[in-house]
Amino acid sequence: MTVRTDDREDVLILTVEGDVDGLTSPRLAAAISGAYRALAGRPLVLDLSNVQFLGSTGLRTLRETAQGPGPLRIVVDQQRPVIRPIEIVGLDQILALYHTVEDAIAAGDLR
Amino acid sequence: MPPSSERQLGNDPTRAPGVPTLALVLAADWISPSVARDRVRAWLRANQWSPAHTDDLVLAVNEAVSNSIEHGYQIGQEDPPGQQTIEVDGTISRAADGIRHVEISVRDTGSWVPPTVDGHSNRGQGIRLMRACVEHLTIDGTSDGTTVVLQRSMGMPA
Repeated sequence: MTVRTDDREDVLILTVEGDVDGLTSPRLAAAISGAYRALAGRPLVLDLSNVQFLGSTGLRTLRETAQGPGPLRIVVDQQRPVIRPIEIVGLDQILALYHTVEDAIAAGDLR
Repeated sequence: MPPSSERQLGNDPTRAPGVPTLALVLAADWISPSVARDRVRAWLRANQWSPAHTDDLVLAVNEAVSNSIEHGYQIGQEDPPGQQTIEVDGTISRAADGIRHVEISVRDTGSWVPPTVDGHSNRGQGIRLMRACVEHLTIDGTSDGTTVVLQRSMGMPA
Protein backbone atom coordinates (compact mmCIF):
# COMPACT_ATOMS: atom_id res chain seq x y z
CA MET A 1 0.00 0.00 0.00
CA THR A 2 1.23 3.49 -0.80
CA VAL A 3 -0.27 6.82 0.27
CA ARG A 4 0.49 9.92 -1.77
CA THR A 5 -0.28 13.41 -0.44
CA ASP A 6 -1.46 16.19 -2.72
CA ASP A 7 -1.34 19.38 -0.68
CA ARG A 8 -3.42 22.00 -2.50
CA GLU A 9 -4.44 25.46 -1.46
CA ASP A 10 -8.09 24.55 -0.91
CA VAL A 11 -7.96 20.83 -0.21
CA LEU A 12 -5.68 18.04 1.00
CA ILE A 13 -5.88 14.82 -1.01
CA LEU A 14 -4.54 11.45 0.12
CA THR A 15 -4.36 8.95 -2.74
CA VAL A 16 -4.15 5.34 -1.53
CA GLU A 17 -3.05 2.48 -3.76
CA GLY A 18 -2.78 -1.23 -3.07
CA ASP A 19 -4.21 -3.35 -0.28
CA VAL A 20 -5.55 -1.97 3.01
CA ASP A 21 -5.32 -4.87 5.46
CA GLY A 22 -4.00 -5.70 8.91
CA LEU A 23 -0.44 -5.09 7.79
CA THR A 24 -0.99 -1.73 6.12
CA SER A 25 -3.95 -0.11 7.89
CA PRO A 26 -1.80 1.34 10.72
CA ARG A 27 0.12 3.28 8.07
CA LEU A 28 -3.13 4.52 6.57
CA ALA A 29 -4.32 5.61 10.02
CA ALA A 30 -1.04 7.45 10.57
CA ALA A 31 -1.30 9.15 7.18
CA ILE A 32 -4.85 10.32 7.90
CA SER A 33 -3.86 11.58 11.36
CA GLY A 34 -0.94 13.47 9.84
CA ALA A 35 -3.19 14.98 7.19
CA TYR A 36 -5.69 16.10 9.82
CA ARG A 37 -2.91 17.96 11.63
CA ALA A 38 -1.98 19.76 8.39
CA LEU A 39 -5.55 20.59 7.32
CA ALA A 40 -5.87 24.15 8.63
CA GLY A 41 -9.56 24.26 7.84
CA ARG A 42 -9.38 22.54 4.47
CA PRO A 43 -11.36 19.41 3.69
CA LEU A 44 -9.54 16.07 3.48
CA VAL A 45 -10.22 13.88 0.45
CA LEU A 46 -9.25 10.22 0.80
CA ASP A 47 -9.07 8.69 -2.65
CA LEU A 48 -9.55 4.91 -2.49
CA SER A 49 -10.14 4.50 -6.25
CA ASN A 50 -6.96 2.49 -6.65
CA VAL A 51 -7.34 0.30 -3.58
CA GLN A 52 -7.43 -3.38 -4.54
CA PHE A 53 -8.46 -4.81 -1.20
CA LEU A 54 -10.16 -3.51 1.95
CA GLY A 55 -10.62 -5.73 5.00
CA SER A 56 -12.10 -5.21 8.46
CA THR A 57 -8.95 -3.60 9.83
CA GLY A 58 -9.16 -1.00 7.04
CA LEU A 59 -12.87 -0.51 7.76
CA ARG A 60 -11.95 0.07 11.41
CA THR A 61 -9.46 2.75 10.33
CA LEU A 62 -12.11 4.47 8.22
CA ARG A 63 -14.67 4.32 11.03
CA GLU A 64 -12.22 5.66 13.61
CA THR A 65 -10.90 8.47 11.42
CA ALA A 66 -14.19 9.54 9.86
CA GLN A 67 -14.83 11.85 12.81
CA GLY A 68 -11.83 14.12 12.47
CA PRO A 69 -11.24 17.84 12.87
CA GLY A 70 -12.24 18.50 9.25
CA PRO A 71 -14.69 16.89 6.86
CA LEU A 72 -13.37 13.58 5.51
CA ARG A 73 -14.58 12.88 1.99
CA ILE A 74 -13.90 9.41 0.67
CA VAL A 75 -13.68 8.58 -3.02
CA VAL A 76 -14.65 5.06 -4.07
CA ASP A 77 -15.55 4.05 -7.59
CA GLN A 78 -17.54 0.94 -8.28
CA GLN A 79 -14.57 -1.26 -7.55
CA ARG A 80 -16.21 -4.17 -5.88
CA PRO A 81 -13.45 -5.20 -3.45
CA VAL A 82 -13.72 -1.76 -1.81
CA ILE A 83 -17.39 -0.81 -1.93
CA ARG A 84 -18.67 -4.26 -0.98
CA PRO A 85 -17.08 -4.50 2.50
CA ILE A 86 -18.09 -0.87 3.19
CA GLU A 87 -21.70 -1.74 2.37
CA ILE A 88 -21.74 -5.05 4.24
CA VAL A 89 -20.91 -3.38 7.55
CA GLY A 90 -23.09 -0.34 6.82
CA LEU A 91 -20.26 2.20 6.73
CA ASP A 92 -21.81 3.69 3.57
CA GLN A 93 -24.45 5.15 5.91
CA ILE A 94 -21.80 6.93 7.97
CA LEU A 95 -19.05 7.94 5.56
CA ALA A 96 -19.26 10.77 3.04
CA LEU A 97 -18.68 8.83 -0.18
CA TYR A 98 -18.06 10.26 -3.66
CA HIS A 99 -17.43 8.67 -7.03
CA THR A 100 -14.62 10.97 -8.17
CA VAL A 101 -12.06 13.28 -6.61
CA GLU A 102 -13.67 16.16 -8.54
CA ASP A 103 -17.06 15.39 -6.96
CA ALA A 104 -15.48 15.22 -3.51
CA ILE A 105 -13.79 18.59 -3.92
CA ALA A 106 -16.89 20.18 -5.45
CA ALA A 107 -19.02 18.97 -2.52
CA GLY A 108 -17.65 21.86 -0.50
CA ASP A 109 -19.06 24.40 -2.95
CA LEU A 110 -22.57 23.59 -1.78
CA ARG A 111 -21.99 25.11 1.61
CA MET B 1 -12.94 -39.41 -27.30
CA PRO B 2 -13.90 -37.06 -24.46
CA PRO B 3 -11.62 -34.18 -23.47
CA SER B 4 -9.07 -35.09 -20.85
CA SER B 5 -10.88 -33.23 -18.09
CA GLU B 6 -13.95 -35.35 -18.59
CA ARG B 7 -11.88 -38.47 -18.69
CA GLN B 8 -10.39 -37.55 -15.31
CA LEU B 9 -13.87 -37.07 -13.97
CA GLY B 10 -15.01 -40.42 -15.23
CA ASN B 11 -13.92 -42.49 -12.29
CA ASP B 12 -14.80 -40.03 -9.57
CA PRO B 13 -17.90 -37.91 -10.06
CA THR B 14 -17.24 -35.89 -6.90
CA ARG B 15 -13.94 -34.59 -8.21
CA ALA B 16 -13.95 -31.26 -10.01
CA PRO B 17 -11.55 -30.46 -12.84
CA GLY B 18 -8.70 -28.09 -12.22
CA VAL B 19 -6.75 -27.94 -8.99
CA PRO B 20 -8.96 -29.59 -6.39
CA THR B 21 -7.03 -28.81 -3.23
CA LEU B 22 -5.14 -25.98 -1.57
CA ALA B 23 -2.91 -26.39 1.47
CA LEU B 24 -1.07 -23.52 3.15
CA VAL B 25 0.78 -23.16 6.40
CA LEU B 26 1.14 -19.51 7.33
CA ALA B 27 3.15 -17.75 10.00
CA ALA B 28 1.42 -15.85 12.80
CA ASP B 29 2.47 -12.64 11.11
CA TRP B 30 0.48 -9.74 9.67
CA ILE B 31 2.04 -10.43 6.27
CA SER B 32 0.11 -13.71 6.18
CA PRO B 33 -3.37 -12.39 5.28
CA SER B 34 -1.94 -11.03 2.01
CA VAL B 35 -0.19 -14.35 1.32
CA ALA B 36 -3.46 -16.18 1.94
CA ARG B 37 -5.37 -13.78 -0.33
CA ASP B 38 -2.89 -14.19 -3.19
CA ARG B 39 -2.84 -17.98 -2.93
CA VAL B 40 -6.61 -18.39 -2.57
CA ARG B 41 -7.21 -16.01 -5.47
CA ALA B 42 -4.78 -17.90 -7.72
CA TRP B 43 -6.31 -21.23 -6.71
CA LEU B 44 -9.87 -20.12 -7.43
CA ARG B 45 -8.79 -18.55 -10.71
CA ALA B 46 -7.15 -21.83 -11.74
CA ASN B 47 -10.52 -23.43 -11.08
CA GLN B 48 -12.41 -20.86 -13.17
CA TRP B 49 -14.26 -19.49 -10.16
CA SER B 50 -16.19 -16.31 -11.00
CA PRO B 51 -14.48 -12.99 -10.14
CA ALA B 52 -17.29 -11.88 -7.81
CA HIS B 53 -17.33 -15.15 -5.86
CA THR B 54 -13.55 -15.11 -5.78
CA ASP B 55 -13.50 -11.60 -4.27
CA ASP B 56 -15.95 -12.72 -1.60
CA LEU B 57 -14.00 -15.83 -0.67
CA VAL B 58 -10.73 -13.90 -0.62
CA LEU B 59 -12.28 -11.36 1.74
CA ALA B 60 -13.67 -14.11 3.99
CA VAL B 61 -10.30 -15.90 4.14
CA ASN B 62 -8.59 -12.58 4.91
CA GLU B 63 -10.91 -12.08 7.87
CA ALA B 64 -10.44 -15.61 9.21
CA VAL B 65 -6.64 -15.42 9.00
CA SER B 66 -6.64 -11.92 10.52
CA ASN B 67 -8.83 -13.16 13.40
CA SER B 68 -6.40 -16.00 14.07
CA ILE B 69 -3.49 -13.58 14.28
CA GLU B 70 -5.21 -10.82 16.25
CA HIS B 71 -7.49 -12.81 18.54
CA GLY B 72 -6.23 -16.41 18.41
CA TYR B 73 -2.61 -15.48 18.96
CA GLN B 74 -3.16 -12.03 20.46
CA ILE B 75 -0.73 -10.37 18.05
CA GLY B 76 -1.56 -6.70 17.66
CA GLN B 77 -1.04 -4.92 14.36
CA GLU B 78 2.14 -3.26 15.60
CA ASP B 79 3.49 -6.38 17.37
CA PRO B 80 6.33 -8.59 16.10
CA PRO B 81 5.34 -11.93 14.51
CA GLY B 82 4.66 -14.96 16.70
CA GLN B 83 6.06 -18.49 16.40
CA GLN B 84 2.67 -20.13 15.82
CA THR B 85 1.14 -21.13 12.52
CA ILE B 86 -2.20 -20.94 10.76
CA GLU B 87 -3.32 -23.69 8.40
CA VAL B 88 -5.49 -22.92 5.40
CA ASP B 89 -6.93 -25.88 3.51
CA GLY B 90 -9.28 -25.75 0.55
CA THR B 91 -11.15 -28.39 -1.41
CA ILE B 92 -13.39 -28.13 -4.44
CA SER B 93 -15.86 -30.88 -5.16
CA ARG B 94 -18.59 -31.34 -7.74
CA ALA B 95 -22.07 -32.63 -7.09
CA ALA B 96 -23.92 -34.85 -9.55
CA ASP B 97 -25.96 -31.84 -10.77
CA GLY B 98 -22.77 -30.07 -11.84
CA ILE B 99 -22.78 -27.58 -8.98
CA ARG B 100 -19.31 -27.13 -7.58
CA HIS B 101 -18.70 -26.65 -3.92
CA VAL B 102 -15.71 -24.97 -2.31
CA GLU B 103 -14.79 -25.43 1.30
CA ILE B 104 -11.93 -23.52 2.91
CA SER B 105 -10.88 -24.09 6.49
CA VAL B 106 -8.68 -21.76 8.52
CA ARG B 107 -7.26 -23.33 11.64
CA ASP B 108 -5.21 -21.91 14.48
CA THR B 109 -4.06 -23.30 17.81
CA GLY B 110 -4.84 -20.15 19.73
CA SER B 111 -7.63 -19.40 22.11
CA TRP B 112 -10.03 -16.83 20.77
CA VAL B 113 -13.59 -17.15 21.82
CA PRO B 114 -15.97 -16.32 18.96
CA PRO B 115 -17.52 -12.98 19.83
CA THR B 116 -21.14 -12.11 19.47
CA VAL B 117 -21.82 -9.98 16.43
CA ASP B 118 -22.39 -6.60 17.98
CA GLY B 119 -21.66 -4.77 14.76
CA HIS B 120 -19.07 -2.38 16.06
CA SER B 121 -16.20 -4.35 17.49
CA ASN B 122 -13.67 -5.30 14.86
CA ARG B 123 -14.20 -8.98 15.63
CA GLY B 124 -17.91 -8.60 15.04
CA GLN B 125 -17.21 -6.82 11.76
CA GLY B 126 -14.87 -9.54 10.58
CA ILE B 127 -17.53 -12.14 11.24
CA ARG B 128 -20.16 -10.01 9.53
CA LEU B 129 -17.95 -9.85 6.45
CA MET B 130 -17.38 -13.61 6.49
CA ARG B 131 -21.08 -14.33 6.92
CA ALA B 132 -22.00 -12.07 4.00
CA CYS B 133 -19.40 -13.62 1.72
CA VAL B 134 -20.17 -17.33 2.04
CA GLU B 135 -23.23 -19.57 2.14
CA HIS B 136 -22.20 -21.45 5.25
CA LEU B 137 -19.89 -20.25 7.99
CA THR B 138 -18.94 -22.34 10.99
CA ILE B 139 -16.65 -21.22 13.77
CA ASP B 140 -15.52 -23.99 16.06
CA GLY B 141 -13.59 -22.67 19.02
CA THR B 142 -12.10 -25.07 21.56
CA SER B 143 -9.30 -24.87 24.11
CA ASP B 144 -7.01 -26.34 21.43
CA GLY B 145 -7.70 -23.66 18.87
CA THR B 146 -10.26 -22.31 16.47
CA THR B 147 -11.33 -23.62 13.09
CA VAL B 148 -13.31 -21.46 10.71
CA VAL B 149 -14.95 -23.26 7.80
CA LEU B 150 -16.16 -21.24 4.80
CA GLN B 151 -18.39 -22.88 2.21
CA ARG B 152 -19.81 -21.68 -1.07
CA SER B 153 -21.25 -23.25 -4.23
CA MET B 154 -21.07 -22.29 -7.89
CA GLY B 155 -22.17 -23.72 -11.23
CA MET B 156 -19.71 -25.38 -13.61
CA PRO B 157 -17.45 -23.07 -15.61
CA ALA B 158 -18.76 -22.27 -19.06
